[in-house]
Amino acid sequence: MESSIKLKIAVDHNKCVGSTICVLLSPKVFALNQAGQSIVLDVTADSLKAILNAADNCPQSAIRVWEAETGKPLFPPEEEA
Amino acid sequence: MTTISDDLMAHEVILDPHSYYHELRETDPVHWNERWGGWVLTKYDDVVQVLRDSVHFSSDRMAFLDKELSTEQRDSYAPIFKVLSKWIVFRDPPMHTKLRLLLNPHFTPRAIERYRPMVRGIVKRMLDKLEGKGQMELLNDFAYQVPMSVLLELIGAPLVDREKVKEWSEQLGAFFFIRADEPRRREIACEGINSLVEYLRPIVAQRREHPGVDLISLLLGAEETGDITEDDVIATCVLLVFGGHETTMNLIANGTLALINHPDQWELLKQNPGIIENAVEEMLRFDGSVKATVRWVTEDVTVGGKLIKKGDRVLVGLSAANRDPGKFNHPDVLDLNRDPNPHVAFAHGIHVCLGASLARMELQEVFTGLTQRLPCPVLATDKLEYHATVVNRALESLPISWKVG
Repeated sequence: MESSIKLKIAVDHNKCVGSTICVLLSPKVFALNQAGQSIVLDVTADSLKAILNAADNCPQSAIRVWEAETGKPLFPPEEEA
Repeated sequence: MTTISDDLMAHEVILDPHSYYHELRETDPVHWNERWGGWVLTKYDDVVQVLRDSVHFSSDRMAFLDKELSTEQRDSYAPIFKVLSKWIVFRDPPMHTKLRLLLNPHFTPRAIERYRPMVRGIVKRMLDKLEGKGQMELLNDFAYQVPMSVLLELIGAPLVDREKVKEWSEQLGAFFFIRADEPRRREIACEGINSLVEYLRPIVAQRREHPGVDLISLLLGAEETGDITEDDVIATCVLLVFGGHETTMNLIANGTLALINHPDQWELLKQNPGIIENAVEEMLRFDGSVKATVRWVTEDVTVGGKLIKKGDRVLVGLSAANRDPGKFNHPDVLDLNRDPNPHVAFAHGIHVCLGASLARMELQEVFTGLTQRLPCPVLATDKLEYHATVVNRALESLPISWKVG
């Protein structure tokens, strides 16, 4: 099921250690590059809930998610950002 | 070319591994160590390549160990194998994946925040007790208390048991950290494992009767659906107890020593407590408590231009990678403001330390507490000794003193 809000997702490669947890939880959105770190394939390819779950499960807090139109932080949530 | 020594247990290598790794990295970064019987990697890029490739580099230590043993040895190791073979750290996908996804939500950076108030309280109470004394042996008087209390809380065990759990954990440690030729190593480790298993069984049984939202209940839920076995549950609890406390305790000691040797950085942190996150990352990089990890090669593969063959084993130099000048500017300088700091103290790849966020939080609380409450201490000894192990960076003791009042 696609996300209905247009999203922006970024993976910080200074933090990503290649745990692959995001890929396991949301494989249509996240994949590994040649160096074994996570990259974003398609921001529309999974539900918001699944994408936020992947971000939350990242052991390094390397994934950030925003509402593309407004720039509002979705993960980490506003209070933490 | 002068030949570098292959004795990883030599006193000078144990005392100062960082100088040894520098020399090795400069002369032979993918080095066949004849004595250890495997390849030693000391460059950041090679270390990261291996850690992120679980296809060519297996963590199934027990399978490889099993092949090297005689039938008689296999029998006497059986009780240890029964538990250790189920440890997530020694498993490959797909079983590793299943366990990791099950446990991970309990250890995310946000999830572990629930333990922070408890840790802050322990640190405060301990410093209340110790501050006025002007001296302590950091490991026994302070460092081991914090992680031990946290993981007893994690498994829902009573705090009063911590001395016993520590003792059994040390016995189990004998399997990894004592020389392979020490005859009692196996018995000591078996005693430790058996004690930990028997200790955990009633706790697990109790949780089966009265499930909660704790970690053991989580594991039991997966046992119920048939995803994992009871042996997996018990083995995982043993791992959490064992893996969760020595390493954190040693980081507390190593980090304190690093600060003592860089008093300007103690002052910096004291005056700027807001930098604690970067500061802890730098302590992890500078002198992490796990010097190296091991992998076993499943298929021929090239690393750093050398062919590494199926069946070979590889010593992955985490501390060596963390001081690689090719990756870190002025790697031998402790810079608490270093940012970014992509160290490998917790490894990388699918086996990246499950407890990393929990450890980070404990270290943040410990070092905030220490630097806020005490002036920079000095060493109360002129001789420091480290446990002789290839894997751990573990001081035998750390006596320190400071000015009171």
